[in-house]
Amino acid sequence: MTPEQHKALEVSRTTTFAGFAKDAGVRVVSNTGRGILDRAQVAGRACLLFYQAMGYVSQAGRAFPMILKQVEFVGFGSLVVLSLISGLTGMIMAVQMGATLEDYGALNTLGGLISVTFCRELGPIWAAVIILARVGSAMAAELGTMTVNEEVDALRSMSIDPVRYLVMPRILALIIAMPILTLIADFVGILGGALISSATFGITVSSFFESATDSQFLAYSDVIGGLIKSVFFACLIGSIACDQGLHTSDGAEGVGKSTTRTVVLSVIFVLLMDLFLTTFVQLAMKRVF
Amino acid sequence: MTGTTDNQSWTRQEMERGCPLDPVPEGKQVLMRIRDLNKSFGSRHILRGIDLDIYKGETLVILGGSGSGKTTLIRHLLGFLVADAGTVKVGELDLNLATAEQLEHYRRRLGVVFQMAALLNSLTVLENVGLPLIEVDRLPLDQVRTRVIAALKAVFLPAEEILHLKPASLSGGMRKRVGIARAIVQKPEIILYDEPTTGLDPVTVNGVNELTLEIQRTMGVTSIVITHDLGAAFMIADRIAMLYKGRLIAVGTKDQIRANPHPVLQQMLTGSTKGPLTEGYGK
Repeated sequence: MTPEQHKALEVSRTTTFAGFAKDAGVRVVSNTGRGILDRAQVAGRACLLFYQAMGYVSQAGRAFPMILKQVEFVGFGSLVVLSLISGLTGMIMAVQMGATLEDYGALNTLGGLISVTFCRELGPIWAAVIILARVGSAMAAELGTMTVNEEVDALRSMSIDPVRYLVMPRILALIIAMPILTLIADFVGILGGALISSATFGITVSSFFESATDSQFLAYSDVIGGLIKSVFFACLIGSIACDQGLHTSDGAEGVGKSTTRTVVLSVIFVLLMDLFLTTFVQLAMKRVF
Repeated sequence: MTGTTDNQSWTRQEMERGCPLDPVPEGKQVLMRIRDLNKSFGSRHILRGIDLDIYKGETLVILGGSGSGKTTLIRHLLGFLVADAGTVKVGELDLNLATAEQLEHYRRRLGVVFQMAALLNSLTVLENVGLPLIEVDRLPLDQVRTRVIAALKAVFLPAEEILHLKPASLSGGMRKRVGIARAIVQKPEIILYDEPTTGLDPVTVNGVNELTLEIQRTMGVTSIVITHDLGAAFMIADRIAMLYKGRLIAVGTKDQIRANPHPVLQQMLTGSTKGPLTEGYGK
């Protein structure tokens, strides 16, 4: 094809509706593909960072003060907002589900249904969402600022591996704090459901909790499966946040982008991991227990 | 593009030609050897065929305008970058081929003063200066405190008053001095200064320059200073090297640099707004 023919074709592509639609379609597919590849690259890089960080776990003793400080930030700092959200969710669920169960005369199952839902899914998911929004973004911002201010370079120039000094304590702190926060979310969610059920449907708190802990509804595998999920979520959120922070560039704008990307990527990958874990881990736990 | 000095016309090729490597003077020992160093980022060629010897115990100032490749060069000396071609050798160790362990060992011989000091904002002055002693040398805290106080006093800071302050509480000049204290606390052989006087007032600039000379005199270190501050360069340098568009166009003593007719160098020395450094800008 001659250059003139090329140019004529290019003009026809962009000036006719069919050409425009085709061009737009190609762009959508191209951008989608690029987006998927970009996220896959981020996931791979975060996995590598996690692997490198876990290689330093044997030196966790030296980093104990830093780990403790991070646990305090992750745990105590998130407690109030997580409790509030879990409690309110439990109340909303109780009202919604209780209204339907009442029609069928099955209000005695309300506690069990809420406890199973929280222990299997809502507890770990809400804990993950609160942590990634609050702690993940803060970690990405902190490490991103350190990166653009050359503090990470300063560590490397002093023969201090930033993965050992910055990343490992943060991921370990999340692994320690997340299961505890998940248990608290489970309890507060069930408590919220119990309180609203008592006020709305006349179910006593004690009978609500009796239903919630009835083995007909709630098995050990449900609780342990939820805690296993929370550990995986902690590893994911910590790895993504630290990876985004350490790969920040372009000054303050770059820090903002890293923070936003951390939250978006963490939400996507937490839900993907939840799907994977729900399918495989929960089923495996049922076989064990 | 052309430049002229003393009625001599320079073509672009002549201006961008790297200067030949001088033979090692008698009595000097080469500590670092850079040969044919090339580095690109995508389509941007940042360093092009750098040849340079750095002598033990000297203060070498690397001058250059913005975008000339100074920071990229210093990052190679830190072992943060791997060259596309060429070698960077410290003794027998080629930094391009070094393992992580070898690089770690090499960096223990280094002290680095970053442009904005790069102090960790969450740590106190004591923790910042003592960081390499705590994390790398694993010294007990009482020894760390003693060494930190000595390092702060060496940079003329009131050690006891500022030990428990965080960097945000310090002035720019004090932060820079704390950064220098951190660089010298492990008694390094080599100190790299990345734009040490940028952003400081003239009095503090002179203070930092005098401190650099004092450290040189008392510790006998090899200092490599990246700067575009001519006053600082001529105050502290034993030798000056000029980077232009990724090439070393001149290397020599202060007198040799002053006498060098290269148009880029002369424009840099005079601060003139007319010349090859500013061709294409303004009217």
